[in-house]
Amino acid sequence: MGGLAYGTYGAGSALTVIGLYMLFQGEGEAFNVGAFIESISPYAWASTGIGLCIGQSVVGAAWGIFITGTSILGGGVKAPRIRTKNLLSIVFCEVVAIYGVITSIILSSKVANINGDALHSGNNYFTGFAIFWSGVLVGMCNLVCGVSVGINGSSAALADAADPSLFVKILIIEIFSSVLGLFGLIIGLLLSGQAGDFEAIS
Amino acid sequence: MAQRRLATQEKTALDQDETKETKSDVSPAVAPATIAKLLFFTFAMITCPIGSYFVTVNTLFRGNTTYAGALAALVANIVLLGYVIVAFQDDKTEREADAAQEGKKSR
Repeated sequence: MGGLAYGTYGAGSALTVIGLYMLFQGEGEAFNVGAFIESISPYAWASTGIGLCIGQSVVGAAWGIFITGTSILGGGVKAPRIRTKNLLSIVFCEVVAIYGVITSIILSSKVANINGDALHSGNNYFTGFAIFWSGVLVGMCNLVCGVSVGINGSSAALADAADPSLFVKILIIEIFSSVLGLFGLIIGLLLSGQAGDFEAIS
Repeated sequence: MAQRRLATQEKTALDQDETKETKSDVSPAVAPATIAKLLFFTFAMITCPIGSYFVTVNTLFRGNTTYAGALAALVANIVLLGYVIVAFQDDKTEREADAAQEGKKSR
């Protein structure tokens, strides 16, 4: 932690000195965030968005199954029989990954190869940004939703091992947390639905 | 007065051949039917939403990916609902079987 803090202080103060020097020497517009964002190819935005969408969704689902699975095995010490309803939480986590897969397929269907300068048109930039941010949106929603379903599922497994009549009550809460991923999916679809495919003529 | 224990005359754990016989439960902890159901629904969860997307995107929705994606999400939730229903039916039948066994034991 200490080394990280020193590095952060060092980099921060160096950047401040350089920034102030450039500002007072009349070169302040070198810090142009907009130009930097525009200098990145729309392909890079789109591909990064698709990758983050499926990647974060799978991380969320895997995290959920990891937490739930360990608790099912731990609860098995008290109630050794594993029934269909114990594995329900695993399927709930799986749905979260499927949301990410669906969104990634839809996003990747908008990517097409464009020759030459036609790529840098306004429409193509908008498509790139929309795909990037809907990918990040769906990915983050599914990451947190997967963790939430996983922790609920873990409690469901332990509660079921102690008292089987508690299972239904916790399952209802689990359904609520699995709906959270659906919210992200809906908004991601709407946002990417505004953007057309990459096209050569603008 | 306490008697002295003779180490030479006592049997160690290794020498005791006749151990108490306890009933061991060798039935598998996860029933094959449970695994089959989980595998079936996992397979359905992978193929049904993606399949329905690719089937309907160019035929039913004429290239509108948003509607096709919404349908795919709906299909995924239908598969999930199917698993929930199957799980609760299994739970019911198993509870009835357990109750019947309890009734036999108490008689």
